[in-house]
Amino acid sequence: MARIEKYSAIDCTGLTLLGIDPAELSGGEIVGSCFAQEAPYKADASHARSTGHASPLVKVFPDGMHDVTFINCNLDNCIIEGVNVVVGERSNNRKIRVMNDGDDWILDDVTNAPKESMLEKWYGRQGESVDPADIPARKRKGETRFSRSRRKARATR
Amino acid sequence: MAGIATTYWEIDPASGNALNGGGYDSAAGTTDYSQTSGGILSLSDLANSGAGVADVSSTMGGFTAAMVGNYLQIASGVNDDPGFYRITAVADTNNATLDRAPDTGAGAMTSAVCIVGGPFALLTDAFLEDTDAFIPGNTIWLKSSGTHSMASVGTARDGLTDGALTIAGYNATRGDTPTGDDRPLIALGSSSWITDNRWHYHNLRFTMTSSTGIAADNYTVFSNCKVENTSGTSNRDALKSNSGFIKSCEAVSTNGAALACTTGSLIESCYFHDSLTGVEIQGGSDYIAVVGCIFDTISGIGVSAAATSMLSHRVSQSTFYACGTAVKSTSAQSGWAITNCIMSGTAGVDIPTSSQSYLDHNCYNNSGTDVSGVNKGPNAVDSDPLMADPANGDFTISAASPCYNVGLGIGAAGSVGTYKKNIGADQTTYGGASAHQTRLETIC
Repeated sequence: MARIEKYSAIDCTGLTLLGIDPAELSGGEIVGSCFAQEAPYKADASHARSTGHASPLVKVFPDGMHDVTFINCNLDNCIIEGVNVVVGERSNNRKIRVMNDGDDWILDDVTNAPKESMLEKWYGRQGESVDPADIPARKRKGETRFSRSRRKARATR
Repeated sequence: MAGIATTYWEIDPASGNALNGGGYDSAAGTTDYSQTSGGILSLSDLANSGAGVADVSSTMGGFTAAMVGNYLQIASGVNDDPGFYRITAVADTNNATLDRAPDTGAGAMTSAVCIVGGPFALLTDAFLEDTDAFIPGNTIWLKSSGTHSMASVGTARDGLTDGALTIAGYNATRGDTPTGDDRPLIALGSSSWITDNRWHYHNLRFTMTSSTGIAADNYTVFSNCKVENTSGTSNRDALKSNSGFIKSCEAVSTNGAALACTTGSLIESCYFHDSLTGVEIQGGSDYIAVVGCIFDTISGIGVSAAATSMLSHRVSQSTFYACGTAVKSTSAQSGWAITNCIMSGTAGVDIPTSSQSYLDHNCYNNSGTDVSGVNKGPNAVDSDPLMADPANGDFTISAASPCYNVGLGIGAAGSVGTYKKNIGADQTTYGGASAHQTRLETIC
């Protein structure tokens, strides 16, 4: 399968390709590109006990695109439809949303409920909770949770 | 351990392969094959004579003395322990010695598939976490041959005081120090890049929309990097640095701080622009130094200190243009020294009277309120600094500028010659200056 050079190894963060001729994007490999869409925030469904979590996925690619293999591409929050596949240890196609703690969370594929903090490795080291149940019911104002954990870390060095 | 501190690793998105050897001991004095597309030797019959033996053989052969110091990667085989191994000696075309035995301990390794040399295509978490291969003192070279699309990097590994973990970009030749779009691009999307202490990043570009673009813990160095967070969500930062050294970098965060920093951070010769905040000093932080920087079109505050920030912050030799406020703090504890700064098209300095701060030799022009809570000092300049074309990014001054040669300088005692500085980030001497002056003006 031929590599689609025009759309390989490029940064399309936040951009959509809906206006592109689907033939340009079909029948080949797209390698090492970033098509990730920004994690949205929705105030009425941004903590663990919310009901009706919305999907953050965005339609990025045009109808009619087919037989594309995405290799090592970042496809977070992108809808991948039809006969297109995502492969490679560096590929991602996660659902991500901003929750009330101001951070980005990976969502459950089925329920869209938050399940893993994108900053889990950092908070884990700082001894901060990465339990989605601890996401506040109201949006945090002012300093982020991250900056508070920094202060805590400094104080304990 | 396979790793040796003098190892270079190579990543080239255009020609690399995940199965290549990827590394070379830069002190070996042989031939570096880590940049050779496809590697220099591929074998499928690598073997050793028994468990624990570092000598390996291949009937296919092809080993040469020039390969000493290069790494081979074993991908599969019988009784093999997959990973990276450094060639330490070559006896002949069929026999070599590795830095350690490549077997699992269950018996002789046979039919191992490996490649000597060749770059990787991807920077992966697995490699950054591979303590057998990537160790303090090592440098990962990233070639600017395509976007490095990344989805979350998070590693708790530390460099050492005498050996950082380094990732350096280049364009055509290692060490060519590319600028602008010639620097390799790492596109994080909605992900973050998190590393622990003593990492060094050189000549790289990062884009992201995540809540924290890059989070770097103690003693991390960024030089000649551009970090851009274009998120539409509020409170999103491009770069967070804890006690780091940020030099000659460019940072943008559309709806947050271009740089958020904590105690002991040194920020020198950087360009912060088109952001809500330029530099945000976070709560509980002491001793922040901002030197020789340009703050351009910062809708909020150029240098902002949290209400709980602590003592002794310094801002000098910097230029603030088209900002909401140049420097603002609500912390009564934070003593400031602000000298040799141009504040043009921005409100000036707003810090509590009780902060016991020192300001002087600053230029205030069309700035709204010049100072609140503090005094300008006796040597303030209240006129147009005559920057060349600040609206189009040229913040230089000419010898005709009222900021030329009137900055806070070095005391005369014990020195010979004229020691003066300009106000603002531009320290060009415009001829006639002594060699002493040119040299000393770069020391802030």
